[in-house]
Amino acid sequence: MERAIETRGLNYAFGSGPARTQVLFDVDLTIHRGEVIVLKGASGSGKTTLLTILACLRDMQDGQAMVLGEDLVGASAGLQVHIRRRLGFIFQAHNLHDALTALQNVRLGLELHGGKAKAQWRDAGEHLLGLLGLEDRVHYKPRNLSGGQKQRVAVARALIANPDIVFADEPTAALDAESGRIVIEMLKDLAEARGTTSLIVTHDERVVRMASRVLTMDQGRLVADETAEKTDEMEAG
Amino acid sequence: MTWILERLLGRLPLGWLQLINRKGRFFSATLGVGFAVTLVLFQLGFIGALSGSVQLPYQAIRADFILSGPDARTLTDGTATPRQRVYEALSVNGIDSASPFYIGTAVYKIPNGRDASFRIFGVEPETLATFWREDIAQFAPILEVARTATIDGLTRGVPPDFLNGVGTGAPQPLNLNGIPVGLVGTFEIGPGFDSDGYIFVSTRTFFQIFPEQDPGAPAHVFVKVAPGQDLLSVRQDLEAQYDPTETLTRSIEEALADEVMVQTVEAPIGIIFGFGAVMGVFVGLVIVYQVLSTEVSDHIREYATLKAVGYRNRFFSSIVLEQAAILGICGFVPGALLATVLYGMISGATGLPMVMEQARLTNVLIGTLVACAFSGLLAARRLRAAEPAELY
Ligand SMILES: Nc1ncnc2c1ncn2[C@@H]1O[C@H](COP(=O)(O)OP(=O)(O)OP(=O)(O)O)[C@@H](O)[C@H]1O
Ligand SMILES: [Mg+2]
Repeated sequence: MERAIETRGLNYAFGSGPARTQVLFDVDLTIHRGEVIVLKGASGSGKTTLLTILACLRDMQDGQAMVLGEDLVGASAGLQVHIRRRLGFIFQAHNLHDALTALQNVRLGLELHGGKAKAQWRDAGEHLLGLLGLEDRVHYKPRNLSGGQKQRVAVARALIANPDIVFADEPTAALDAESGRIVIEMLKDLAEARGTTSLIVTHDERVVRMASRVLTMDQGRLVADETAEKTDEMEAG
Repeated sequence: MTWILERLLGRLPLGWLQLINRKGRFFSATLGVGFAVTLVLFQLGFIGALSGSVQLPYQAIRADFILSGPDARTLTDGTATPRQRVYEALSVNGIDSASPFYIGTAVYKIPNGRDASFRIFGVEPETLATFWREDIAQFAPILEVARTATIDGLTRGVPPDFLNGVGTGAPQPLNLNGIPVGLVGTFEIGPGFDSDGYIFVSTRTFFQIFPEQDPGAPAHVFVKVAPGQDLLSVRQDLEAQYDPTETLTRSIEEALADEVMVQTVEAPIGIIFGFGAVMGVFVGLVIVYQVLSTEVSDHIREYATLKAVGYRNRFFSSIVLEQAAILGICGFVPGALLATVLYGMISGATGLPMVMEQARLTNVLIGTLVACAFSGLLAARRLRAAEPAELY
């Protein structure tokens, strides 16, 4: 099966000299295409740090890492941008542009990608917002949306360009149970339909239960890697 | 507007949408830029009017050369020229005529009007036709008569009926330094910054009005070269006649260029207007920088998000430049309109040649856009603070 992410002996430290604190220790991880993975662990265990390295938002320091077939060791800024354009980002804060409507915000996720995809932003955006239960909020600006609605717009923005990997950090924190479920279901549907990989950092037990695989971190180390039985069967089939 | 910009930029006009999302800020920024544009145009208009009004008397002079004291850089300042230059010039081969030119200033309280400050030109009537434009020269015979004068029909602050009577019946009486003179005709030069109008009198009348002035020391000497002579070689012969450190030989164009330079660049009045224009540019720069850098700071998280997705710095700079251009244009239009209205009011009130020239408008528009772009690029440096890794 094709590998989306692979790391060997990944170490990471903040600061230098006496202030140096290592926050990731020997992380070995293999994630295949189409997996929907939850990353959990105590606060400060290094989940976000790992996510930002794999998402090419931080430079590598030590160890090996491949993302979408590209080597992150010594990757140039240009290569990092190239990889990031194939990723979807869902942040804890929605970071929507207050001057833009929901649809225009979603469009920004597509603007980068030329050609046909860009030309069809309107239909694609409306469709995606509809799937997220926002069909009647398409032309609303963020200030007229609830926190959960804004987060769903941010999800649509992350997914509009059909990313190969979605990185999400606490995506359901602002969502009620139902919208949270819709978002995770959507990621799972994408995994099945397009082989989209998702790496979701969360404390939300409902999300944990929906994942095909759950990784647990503790003090900078991966300490558990459990595969849900249901998805086991799927993978075997 | 959004639609037009979208076609123009080939992308979502994010800068524009962000600007109009904060209408209050956009409005005050536009107002600020407009104010700066008005200020700059206003000051440039004054400088233009200054140099325009300086040119007016020169345009009436028909001399080939003007001989002046070594430090004379305007018509009115500098050391006088010895009258014997007239005879020296006449002795040069190829020179047709030479004539002394006297200048004085007198204030006259116009009936039912305010005090008008006149520049009085004392000329030899017999050479008037040689050295002055036709509308002035036509009065040569009548200026021979003692205590007659001609007056600028465009004199500032004079009731129209005062000038209308001139030249129609009996000479209109006027008192200059206590000497009554009769106005016998009008010509047109136009007022300047330092005088309301011009009056021509014969040298004889001139010394009655200004008995303290020395007939042996005219302000300048005008020289006319005979037709068909080579100006350059005559000029060389003329300059050989006297010590160049004592007497300047200039063409009318050179003398005018000197005076424009002095009045618009070196004189306090020119410096004040120039400084005003610089202030306007500075105010505009600061306002645009302030607004754009606040815009960037306010949206830094959104920009960081876009950076994470793979937008490059070029994209963000283009948004800031888009905003800069919009502020520039939206400020320029009302600013230029206001300035044009003010030009009309001022030239109506003062008679000064304040005209909105196409070239000035174009230059100020370009300048506005360049200044806005400069401020925008400075503000765009703040984009470096957009750090996508900090977003998670
Ligand atoms: N920019 C930074 N500079 C220095 N130390 C940092 C920085 N970011 C994180 N850390 C430290 O690295 C460790 C791991 O942080 P990280 O944000 O990865 O934890 P986390 O697992 O995401 O926690 P949480 O569940 O609270 O979000 C923490 O001890 C934190 O203090
Ligand atoms: Mg975290």
